[in-house]
Amino acid sequence: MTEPDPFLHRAASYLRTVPEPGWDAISNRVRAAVHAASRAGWPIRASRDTGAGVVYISDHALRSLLARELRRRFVCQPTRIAFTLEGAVLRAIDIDVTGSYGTQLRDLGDDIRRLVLDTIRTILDDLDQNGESPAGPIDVTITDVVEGDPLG
Amino acid sequence: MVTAPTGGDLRDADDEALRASAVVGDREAFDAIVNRYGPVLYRYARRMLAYEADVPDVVQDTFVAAWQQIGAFRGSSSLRTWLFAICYRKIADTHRLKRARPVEDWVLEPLAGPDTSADPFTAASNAAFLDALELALGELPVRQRAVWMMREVEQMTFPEIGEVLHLSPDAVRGHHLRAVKTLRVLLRRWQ
Repeated sequence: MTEPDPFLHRAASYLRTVPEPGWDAISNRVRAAVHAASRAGWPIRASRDTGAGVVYISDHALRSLLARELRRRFVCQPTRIAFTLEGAVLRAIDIDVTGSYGTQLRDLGDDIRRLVLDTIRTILDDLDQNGESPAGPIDVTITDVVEGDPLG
Repeated sequence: MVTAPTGGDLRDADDEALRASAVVGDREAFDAIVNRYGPVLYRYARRMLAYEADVPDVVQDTFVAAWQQIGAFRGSSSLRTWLFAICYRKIADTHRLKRARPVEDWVLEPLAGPDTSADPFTAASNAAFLDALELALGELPVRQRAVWMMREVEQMTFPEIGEVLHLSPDAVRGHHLRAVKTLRVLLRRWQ
């Protein structure tokens, strides 16, 4: 058993409080490098083929956007956002969230579905021949319920 | 509608919430992780690497790798332990670890002489004490230094440190004991 050493304990506390100007100098660069880092993913078609080319959005980008919107708008924490694709066309979305006690969970599910639909409609064209929404069912599952804000 | 009272502000979110959000793909959650652990990993890497010029690259590579791998991270260890483990591998990959470098005893002594009543943490010699502390840490073998930093400065548990270094908790405890003994001797004039 290591004996506690008050002097070294204070030395460690001191090191914890010493500023790291080196970090301040590189923090923007690090965040930019993370944002630029590529991750393997799937393209989701965002526009019709009009002969001039097609616009795609990566599943990561769309998932990030939806996660951010849900977190900002509702007392919930998305824990899974899964897309069902047919080729590159989005057909369905499954969302798992952690909710909060005291929340009307059914209302929360409906609100989430509406927001997701509104969000993807601003990004994805209606790709079906019959002009229907590219996303079919949007299933929301409340996988856990916690006291207070799920974000802690 | 059930709206978020804080607008989903992540600054006070706990680590597990940030991890879960980042796993889903929330970039802002990962930015919050970078903001929280950037200074922590920077000060750790700075004391483990021989050249300060290597520190920014190691810290950046750590977070880029973490972002690329976080989808597969299910929280079997704490977020902090996971980040330290990645950082430790990145440091090792540089092959530029700061090796133990003995210094002469007088370098570590207080300039004002052996005034044991002076508190090095509040006296005007703060900067000198910090220099002496850094030199003393530099004298420790790599693993002892890593263990002491993670245990004392980052307040990690022995099992957590063991996960980072791939050592048993008992082995970590042994390194910590030796580090403490060495630092006590090296910094005895400041106590």
